[in-house]
Amino acid sequence: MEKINEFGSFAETISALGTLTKLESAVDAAVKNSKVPARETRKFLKCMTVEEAGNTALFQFIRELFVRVGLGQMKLTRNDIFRYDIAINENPVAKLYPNVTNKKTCYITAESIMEFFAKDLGLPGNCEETACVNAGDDRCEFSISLQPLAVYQLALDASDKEIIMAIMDGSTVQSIATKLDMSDEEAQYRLSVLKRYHILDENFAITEIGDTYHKYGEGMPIQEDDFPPPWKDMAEISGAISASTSFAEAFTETAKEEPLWDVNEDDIVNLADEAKKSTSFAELLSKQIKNKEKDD
Amino acid sequence: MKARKYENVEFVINHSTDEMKLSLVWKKGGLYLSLSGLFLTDGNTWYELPVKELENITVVSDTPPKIRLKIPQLDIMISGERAEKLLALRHFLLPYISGDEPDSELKALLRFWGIGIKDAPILSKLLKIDEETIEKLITESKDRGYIDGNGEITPAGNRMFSDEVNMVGGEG
Repeated sequence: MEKINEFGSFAETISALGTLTKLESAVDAAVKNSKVPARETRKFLKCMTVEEAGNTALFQFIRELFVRVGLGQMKLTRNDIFRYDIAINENPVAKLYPNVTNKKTCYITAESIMEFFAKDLGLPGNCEETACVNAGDDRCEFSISLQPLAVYQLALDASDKEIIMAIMDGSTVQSIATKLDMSDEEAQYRLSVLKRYHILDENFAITEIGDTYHKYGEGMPIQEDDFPPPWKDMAEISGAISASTSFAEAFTETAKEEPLWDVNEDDIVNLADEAKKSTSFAELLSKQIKNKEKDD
Repeated sequence: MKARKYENVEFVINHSTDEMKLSLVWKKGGLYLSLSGLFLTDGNTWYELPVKELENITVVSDTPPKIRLKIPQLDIMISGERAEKLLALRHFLLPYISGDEPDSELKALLRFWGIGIKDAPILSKLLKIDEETIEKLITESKDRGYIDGNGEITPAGNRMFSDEVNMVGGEG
């Protein structure tokens, strides 16, 4: 069977590209139809433990959405305030690169996760694969690093901001509940969240981070629209995903039927080789023109 | 040499070391998969892009779909009819490209540095990395030119995030 370097055969390459095209379409449709209201994202961000975060309606939705897209079953493995780690066992994307060894391969998964976080949750940042079965690891793992200001803006609501203001104005922790007309339990919970986010220190005093947030973050409130969460209509999202992937399926079929072209060696310009030999693009062009004239 | 058509494209080849970037007229043609990598053709010349020479592939725009392939001294811009096909090609090729990307811890540190949080103990707490490693990351950031002599993040440091998905609020 003919090989395309380490890609594999033409048939394997076309098949992998067909699957990737389908995934691209599905991710695009999923992200376009899965905007999450800020209140749900906030619940997820405020979770104290990974188990709690993994059980939120939002993460359950993420898990279901990515299964339907075709990116595999996700498990939340870490929930620091600005960093979330996700693991995927039996990652279907990794299987698209059977000829790659000792390298991470699942860029499409990392970028899809980040696209969802940025566009649907309003949490920009960066996601990268930190472990991959194709690199010899037991499973594929992804690390999401979120932009801190965006996290603070979403995680902390108006009541949290009132607490920060009250403490900056000299209110004692004990008086917060009464002053802000909330239960003691709620006040304690909110104070613990503010401590977790390093807005308050162990003694409930404002930290340097709290001060920075107060200066820059509070002045840039985000607009919060209230609308039903996307998991209320999963059938509609699934329909959009299915419709979007029909083109990709058609592509895979027609691509298989594309004829193999015989390219005349004399018509080929190896761009990498020519660029190395040439000091300028003009020289490269001149070489091509001279070669053409010689041929004619 | 055998090649199989992947997509109808328009493409332009730029020499990336010329002082003034030269830009040819966009050529209409095809993108082909070959035994040695990729081919672009305008119908006359077949431009070979050896995969082993690829340094990077980035998305330039979604509408119209456009990607940039970087090989030593050359930038090749390709615009196709279907975004998902170009994106799929990019994701297919990325594992074959070995880059010298800074790691996520360094990026995370720079993200905080950019908003004014520069204190090593605080960064240590926020990033859950020991202070010694934080100091090493700061030194590395300075060595790589991401933080300047005045302790400010440089344009190169800021560019670390220019490729991040940054759009808040999707359609839907």
